[in-house]
Amino acid sequence: MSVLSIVGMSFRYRGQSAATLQDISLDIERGEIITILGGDGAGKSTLCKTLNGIVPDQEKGEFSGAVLLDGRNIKNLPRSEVVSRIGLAIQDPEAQLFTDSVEEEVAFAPENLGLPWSEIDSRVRRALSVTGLASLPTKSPSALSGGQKQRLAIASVISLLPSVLVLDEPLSMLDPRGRAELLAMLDSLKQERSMTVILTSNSAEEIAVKCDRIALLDRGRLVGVGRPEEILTSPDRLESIGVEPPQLLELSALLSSEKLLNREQAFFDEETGAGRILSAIGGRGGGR
Amino acid sequence: MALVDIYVPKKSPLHGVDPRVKIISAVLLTVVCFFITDLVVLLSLLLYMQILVWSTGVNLKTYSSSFWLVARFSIILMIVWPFFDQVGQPILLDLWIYKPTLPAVLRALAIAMRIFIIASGWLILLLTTRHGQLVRGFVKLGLPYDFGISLSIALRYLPNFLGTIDQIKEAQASRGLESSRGNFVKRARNMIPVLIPTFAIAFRAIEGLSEALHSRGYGANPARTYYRDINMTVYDSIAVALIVSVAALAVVSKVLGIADF
Amino acid sequence: MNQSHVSISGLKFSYPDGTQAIRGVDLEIRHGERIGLAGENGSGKTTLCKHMNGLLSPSAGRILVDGREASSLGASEIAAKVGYLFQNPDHQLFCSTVREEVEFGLRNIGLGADEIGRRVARYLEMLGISHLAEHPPLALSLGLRRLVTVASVLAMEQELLILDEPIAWLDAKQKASVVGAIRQAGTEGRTTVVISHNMKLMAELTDRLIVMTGGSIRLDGKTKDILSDPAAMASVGLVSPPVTLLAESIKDALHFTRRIDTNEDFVSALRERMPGGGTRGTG
Repeated sequence: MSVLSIVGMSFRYRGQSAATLQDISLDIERGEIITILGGDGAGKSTLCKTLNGIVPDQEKGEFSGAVLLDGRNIKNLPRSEVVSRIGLAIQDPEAQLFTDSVEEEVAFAPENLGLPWSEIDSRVRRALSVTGLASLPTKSPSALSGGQKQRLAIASVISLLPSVLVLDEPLSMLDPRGRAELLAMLDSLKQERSMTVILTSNSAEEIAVKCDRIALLDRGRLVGVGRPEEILTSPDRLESIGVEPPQLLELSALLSSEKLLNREQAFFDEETGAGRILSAIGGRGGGR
Repeated sequence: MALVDIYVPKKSPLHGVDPRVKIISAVLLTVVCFFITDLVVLLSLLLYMQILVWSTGVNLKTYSSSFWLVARFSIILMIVWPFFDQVGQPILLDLWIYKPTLPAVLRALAIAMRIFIIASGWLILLLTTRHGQLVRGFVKLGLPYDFGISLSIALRYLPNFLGTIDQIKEAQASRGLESSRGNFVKRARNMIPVLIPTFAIAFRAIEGLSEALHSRGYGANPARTYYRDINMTVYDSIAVALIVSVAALAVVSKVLGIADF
Repeated sequence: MNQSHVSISGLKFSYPDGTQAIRGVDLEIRHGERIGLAGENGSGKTTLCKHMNGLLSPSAGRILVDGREASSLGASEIAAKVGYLFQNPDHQLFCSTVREEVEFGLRNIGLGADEIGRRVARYLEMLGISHLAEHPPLALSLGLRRLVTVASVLAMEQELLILDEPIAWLDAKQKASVVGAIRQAGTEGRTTVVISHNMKLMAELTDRLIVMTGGSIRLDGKTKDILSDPAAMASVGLVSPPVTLLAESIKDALHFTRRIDTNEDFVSALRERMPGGGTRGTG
């Protein structure tokens, strides 16, 4: 059963002529990692904010449809429950961190829920360990690297022990090392617990191999949902909606346009690519 | 630079004192100062406060910046004072409306010393207390938690703010903006390309922060708990009791004329 | 004309608080070169570039731009010679319309109204944001704000262009506009220095790659040579583009001899290994 369901959801910011999100329906499976890919202005951030109720609670506009958590409409649930079941970390980590130390930052959320000290303590330890920050509990957030800050922002939401973690463009503000650390964190989240992760990005590079499903968002509409192999087939299609295709996908398209590869043999990761190229070269028989 | 970012990350005796004690002491010091008129007493108190400040492990650079900040203010005050206070004898100078008398100058000196003493009290607070603990101290003394959070956020953003202004100046300079030349009007106009981005960035940060606070459950439970809290020890309680009684004694005996200092 | 554009000798720089950001750099950049500057945060690359437009003065050593000391030039003089695109667009945007934003720099370097009008139209068109000319820049999305600052800097048409992470936060279409505009600048003979962590971008936009670590230059050579050398890349903590890594993994099987840092290189290399158009046969 889906942990989170978006049913026919639309939202238009007040004063805008066009709706930012139009008729979105999506079932999120428990434990999956799903990436929502879309270009600038596609509605990724707005979509993230509808998932934990910030939209429409804090933003003025017209909202229709529903977001269901375990079958219940989040509109009817107490805010404390919504916020503790669905954790949202926004794009810019700088804007979120304001305490004296890493552990206090992570403790802020469970403190707000009024949890007892021992519960807060165990959640802080868990969140820091999952995000790879366990060695830095007393460090000042301002002294951290960009990648560490992003992971701290995520840790400070993980301490809510949410069933669903929503990460809005977590890679966009990071340098390569920060991105590598974050992707490694996603791997360990996947292995460790059945936390469902929804993340957004405007690039399929790097993220494609890490997720179970991909949803394409184009100007507020979902135009494709499925496994990466099903969705990442045409780099032109991705580019036309503003999404950066993986370089290797572009390579495979180039190879097939040069008749060196069949169209069905499109790939976007190194291993598959190596295999397909070598078999295409070595004899050209079989065709698969 | 930032006055608010002067916490000294060391372990001195004053670091271990509960923030509430330090806050109450700074407040009482401010009040009691005005009841002391004897210059010798003021000087001794001033020197005593400097010893306390140095005991925090403050580095020379921070200390001298704060010192000169207060000094500039005091010097101006001392120079201006005799315009308004011309009581007493003997008159030291006679320049039209500027007639400093010896008693007036001594009163000005007393005020200057009081400013230093008061500043020292608050400086000790800022040198030995992390922002989070400072705010926690105010909240436990009665400041509503929401105000406390606003204070925390302001303390955290102020240094950033100032740093950003420098970066903006650089960015605009590379588009040819001359910010340090021209007459007053021109320079004021040239501040616009620096101020507008500053405010725009601040507003965006505030927006992001409010979403983050919401997502982290701010306000979800009116009865919030605390992880790294501040706790009064026996020594803290004794210290407060002592300070309050000494202050009360000083004020009462001065007012009743029992003692003269 | 391949004369020296930027000449740096023995450059050292320390911040007022004592941190030494640049520990002795010697560098010659010729007119028209397309340079990539890479390195971790704190390696000194941004600090080095800020010397090129006079924002910082060396603690020791010299930096000449077209034969003159960079820091001796006034703000509008240097702004006419050296363009600098800062990483954060929000540090620059302040006007009521996108048009005024692009005009700002052009006015500061003393261009006439006609020329200003011509350039504004040209660069808004090039970046695909002509339809936003009367829009307030501060109300735009981050990607569009970025495009506005790119237009504002490129419109000044300086001989030397320094671009700090020009495609950060841009989606695929916006990125294509910016890459095209930077390539165009290169075609028009301008010297470009691109600072980026994105090695795909370096492969597309640069011929020469300089990598800094800890305040000094560690690698300086042809972009293609460095990006396709796994040992060199590893030594400075960088990762080659995916296509290079793929080529590495199959190079023994296919006997690639080319250096590969773009998809086009890969295809060419594959063709070379497959006589007869590549429909049949072994390498």
